[in-house]
Amino acid sequence: MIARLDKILTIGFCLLWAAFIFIDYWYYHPNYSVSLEYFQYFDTMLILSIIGGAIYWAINGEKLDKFLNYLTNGIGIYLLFILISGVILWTHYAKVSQETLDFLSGLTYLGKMSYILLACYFMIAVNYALGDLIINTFFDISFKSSVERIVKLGVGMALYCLFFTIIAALGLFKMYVILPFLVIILAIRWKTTIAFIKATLFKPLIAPKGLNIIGFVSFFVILIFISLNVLANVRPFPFGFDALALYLNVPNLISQQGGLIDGFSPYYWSIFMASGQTAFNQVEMSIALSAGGGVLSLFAIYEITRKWLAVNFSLLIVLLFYSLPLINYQSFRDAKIDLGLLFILSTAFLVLIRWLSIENEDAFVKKIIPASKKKKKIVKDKSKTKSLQSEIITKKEGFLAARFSESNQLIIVLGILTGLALGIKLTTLLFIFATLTIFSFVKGGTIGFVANFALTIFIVLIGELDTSLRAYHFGVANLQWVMLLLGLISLGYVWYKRKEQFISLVSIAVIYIAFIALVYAPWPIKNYHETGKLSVETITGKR
Amino acid sequence: MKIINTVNYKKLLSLFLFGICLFNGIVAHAFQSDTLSNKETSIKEEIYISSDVREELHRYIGYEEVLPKYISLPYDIIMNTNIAGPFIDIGFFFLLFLPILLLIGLKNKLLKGLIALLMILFLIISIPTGYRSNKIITVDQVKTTVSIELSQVTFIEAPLVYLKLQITKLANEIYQSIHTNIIEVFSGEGDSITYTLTFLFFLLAFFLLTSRLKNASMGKQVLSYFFLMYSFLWLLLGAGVTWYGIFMLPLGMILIGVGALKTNPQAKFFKYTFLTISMVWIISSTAYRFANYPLPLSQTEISAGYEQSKLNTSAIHNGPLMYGLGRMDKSRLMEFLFPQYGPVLTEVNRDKDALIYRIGTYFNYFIERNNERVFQDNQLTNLDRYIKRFPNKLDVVAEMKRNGYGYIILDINVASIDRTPDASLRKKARDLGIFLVNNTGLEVIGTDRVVLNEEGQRVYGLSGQVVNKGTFIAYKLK
Repeated sequence: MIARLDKILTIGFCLLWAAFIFIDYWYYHPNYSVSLEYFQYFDTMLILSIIGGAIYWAINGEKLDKFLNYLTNGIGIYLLFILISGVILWTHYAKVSQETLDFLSGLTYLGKMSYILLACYFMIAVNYALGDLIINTFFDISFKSSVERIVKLGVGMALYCLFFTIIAALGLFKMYVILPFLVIILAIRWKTTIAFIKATLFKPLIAPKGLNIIGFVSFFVILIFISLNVLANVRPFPFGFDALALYLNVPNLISQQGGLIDGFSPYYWSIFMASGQTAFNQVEMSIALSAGGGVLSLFAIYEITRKWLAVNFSLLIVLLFYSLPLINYQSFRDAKIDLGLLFILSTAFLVLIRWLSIENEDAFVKKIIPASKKKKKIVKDKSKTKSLQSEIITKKEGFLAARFSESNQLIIVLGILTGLALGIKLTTLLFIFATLTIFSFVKGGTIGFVANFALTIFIVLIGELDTSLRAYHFGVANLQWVMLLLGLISLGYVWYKRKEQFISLVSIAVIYIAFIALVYAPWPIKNYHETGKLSVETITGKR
Repeated sequence: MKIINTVNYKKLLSLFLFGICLFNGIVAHAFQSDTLSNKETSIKEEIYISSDVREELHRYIGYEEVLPKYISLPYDIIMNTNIAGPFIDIGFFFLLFLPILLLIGLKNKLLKGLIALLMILFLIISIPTGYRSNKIITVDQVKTTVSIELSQVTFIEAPLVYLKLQITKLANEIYQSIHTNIIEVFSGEGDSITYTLTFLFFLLAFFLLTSRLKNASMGKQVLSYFFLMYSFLWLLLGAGVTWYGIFMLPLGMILIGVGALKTNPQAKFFKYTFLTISMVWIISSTAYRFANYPLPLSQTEISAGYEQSKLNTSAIHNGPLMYGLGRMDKSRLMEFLFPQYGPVLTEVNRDKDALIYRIGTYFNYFIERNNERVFQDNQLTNLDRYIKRFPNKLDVVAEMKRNGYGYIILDINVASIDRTPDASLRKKARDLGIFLVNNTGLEVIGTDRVVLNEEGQRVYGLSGQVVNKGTFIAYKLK
C-alpha cells in the first residue's frame, strides 16, 4: 500500500515537474511556436520523408540485401547526404525566387560543397595517418576498431597542431610548405591511408539490419541537420560577431601573415583551421573545419553512449545533442572553436573509459543481477573475450610497451589529448580537474573523490581561477585553507588505508599532467618570448 | 586499534566539514555587518572598475544577489532568462528529466522526500529570479509585473502562458519571505555564505549519488561523478556561459538517456515518456532550424509590412545561396552581407600605420593586420575614461591622435546588450553620443544608416529622416 502510494507520488511529482518545465520553457522561447506556426518547408519534409521511407524499406526488405553494404558505407552515406542537400536546396530556392533552380546552378552549389568536404576529408586522413604512426610506434594499447580510429585521429591532431605551431613560429606557414607536407604524410603512410579510405568509404559504417525506426529516423535527421549547416557554410566570409572578431580572425591572420601572431590565448584549433585555409587558399576551409569539429564529435559521443545503450538509442542521443540550437549556431552562424574542443574532449573521455575498463574489468557490467533475472553465467575466457569492446585490434609492439603498462600508456594518450584540448581553450581545466577527481575515485574510493574535490577547490581559490566573480565572495581566504585541510586529511586517509593505490594514483596523476604540459608547452614558451615574463598570466596567455 | 569503518568515517567527515563551513559562515557573517560598507566598497571598486567584465560577461550569470544567482543558474541557462537567443539555447531536457534521474529507483522514502523538497525550493527561488532577470526589474516589481501580464491574458486564449504566470505569482509570494528573511540578511551583491553552501551542497549531492549508485557499475558511477564534478566546476568558473562547459551537454544527454531508457524494464512508462518528449523536441527543433532561428516579429514590424512567413523561409541564407549558385561574386557578396563596409575598409587599409579604435561591429576581420592595429573597446570602458578626462571634445580627439589612432568605428547599437540594473553601458553610450555629435575633430567616412535626402531619395548618411537606423558609423580623426 505504502509502496504503491510512494510510486504514485513519485510519478506524479515527475510528471508535474516535467509539465511545468515544459510550459516554462515554451514561455521563454516563443520562437519555437512561431517556427511551427509559420513552417514553410512541408514540401521539403514530404520529399525527404519519402526518400527516408524508401531507404528504410530497402534496409528492412530482403530484395536489396546485396546492395546494403553499398548503401551504408561512407560513399553511400555521402550520396544520401548530397541527395538530402539537393532536395533542401531545390525546394528552398523555389520558395525564395519563385522559379525552379536550373540543374547546372544546383550542381555548382553541390560541387563547391563537395570540394570543401573532400578537402576536409583529405585533412582528416592526414591527421589519422599521423595518429596511426604515433600509436603504432610508441604504444601497445587496444580499442574497439571504431574507437581506435577516433583516438588515432585525436592523437594525430595533437602532433599535427604541434608540428604546425613550430612551422608557424618559424614563419613558414605557407601553402608551399603545408600542402606538400600533407601529401607526403599520406604517401609515406600509404598503407594506413588506403586502410583508412577503405574503412571510411567502402566498408559499412553502420549495421543496417540492426536499425529500427528510432535509429533510422535519428540517423536520417542528423544528416538533415548536417546538410543544413554545410549548405549554409558555402561562403568566403564568416558570419557572427565572435567568428569575425576572434575565432575565424585568428586563422585568417595566421594564413595572411604566414606565422604565429602575437598575443591571444592558446590557439591550436585556429592553427588547424588556418592550415586548411592556407593549403587550399579558401576561407571556406576554416569555416568547414570549425563546424567539422561538431560532426567529428558525433562519432565520439556515439561511441561513449554505446557503452550503455544499444545502437538505436545511441543514435537518438546523438540526434538530441546535435539538434540543440547552441550546437547548430556554432556550426553555421557564429563559428567558434568549441566544437573542435568538444571532439578532443569526447575522444579523451573515450580513452578514460578504456582505462577504466582495464582498471576494473566489470566497469561496464551491472554489479548486482536480481535472482529472478539471472541469466546463464558467462565464463570469461580472457583469450577469447568478446565483451562490449568487440573487434579488439591485435596488440602491436610499441616503444613504450616495455616501460609502461597498458593502463599507463592510456594515461599518456589521455594526457596528449588533454594537452591539445588545453591548447585549444583554457576551459579544458574543468576537464582536467574532473579527470583527476575520477582517478582519485577509482583509486581511493569516495574518500579519494572528496580529497581531490577539496584540493581542486583549494587550487581554484588560491589560484584565483574564479577571477571574474571573486569580488562577489568574501571569506575566501579562510575557506581555501579549510578545503586544503579537508583535502589533506582525506588524502592522508587514502594513503593510510590504500598505500599501493595511493602511489598508483600519484604516479598516474604525474604522468597525466606531464604529458598535458608537454603538448601545451609551446604556448607558455610563445608568451614568454613575447613578454619576457613567466607568470600564471603568461602560462595561460591571459597577459 | 579498531579501524574506523568507512561508512562511519564518511559521516564523521561530513559532520566535520559541515561544522567547519557553518562556523566559517557564521564568523564571516558576524564580521560582515561590521565591515559591510567596506565590503560593498570593495565590490564596487573591483567590479565597477572592470565594468566591461560586468557588462559583457556577467550578463550570462545575472545581476541578482549572489546566493540566488548561483542557485538559479541551472534554471537560468535552460530558460535563457538572463540572455535569450539560439546561441545559448540548450533545450529543456536537462531540467525536465531531473526528477527521473534523482528519484526513480530511490528506495529511501525520507531521502526521496528531502530531494523533492529541495527541488521545489530550487524552483521557488529560480522562477521569480528568472522572471525578474528576463524583464530587467527589481525583486519588488515582480508581483506588479506578473499581475499586469496576467491581466492581459486569459486561460482560454493562452492556457500555457496563463498557467506559467499563475505559478510565477505563487512562487514569488513564497519567495518574497525567503528574500526578506534570508537573502537580504545573509547575502547581497557579495556575501560570505554562497561558496560555503555551494561546496556543502556539492558534497551532499555526491554522497546522495553514492548511495543511489551503490549497485551501479563502475562505468556508470564514473560517468555520473565526472558529470557532477565537471558541471560543478563550470558553475564556479563558467560565469554562466554555457559553452565554457560544452562537454557537459553530451554527457548530460547521455546520463538522461541512460536514466530514462535503462531503468527497470518494468518502468516502461519513463521510456515512452522520454521517447514522446524526444519526438516533440525533434519536430520543434527541426522546424526552428529550418526557419534559421527567427525571432517573432513585433507588432511594429508587422505594421511596417514584414511577414513572419517570409522571415521563416530562411533555411539557407540568401548570401551563401547566391554565392554558392555562382550568381554573386565575392565583392557583391561582401556588399550584400556587410553594406557600406567597402569604402571604410578601403580608407583604413590604405592608411596602414593608423590605429583603429573599434567599438563592436564586424569590421575587425577585414582590417589588415588587425591584431596590431585595432583596439577593441566594446563596453566603452576606455573611451569613457578619455571623455571624462578631457571635457573638451577636441582635446579627446587630440589625445587619441597622439596615441596613434586615426579612426573610430562604432556599433550604433553598442548598448543593446546592457542588462545591468543600473544601465551602466547605456549611460556610457549616451556620453559617447554627446561626444560624437557636432564634433569638429571627427569626419564621417562611412555608415549604413539609411535616410531620406532632400529629394526624398533613400541614401546612406546621417542627415535626414531615418529610414533604417543601420549598424555602424565610421569616423576619421581630423
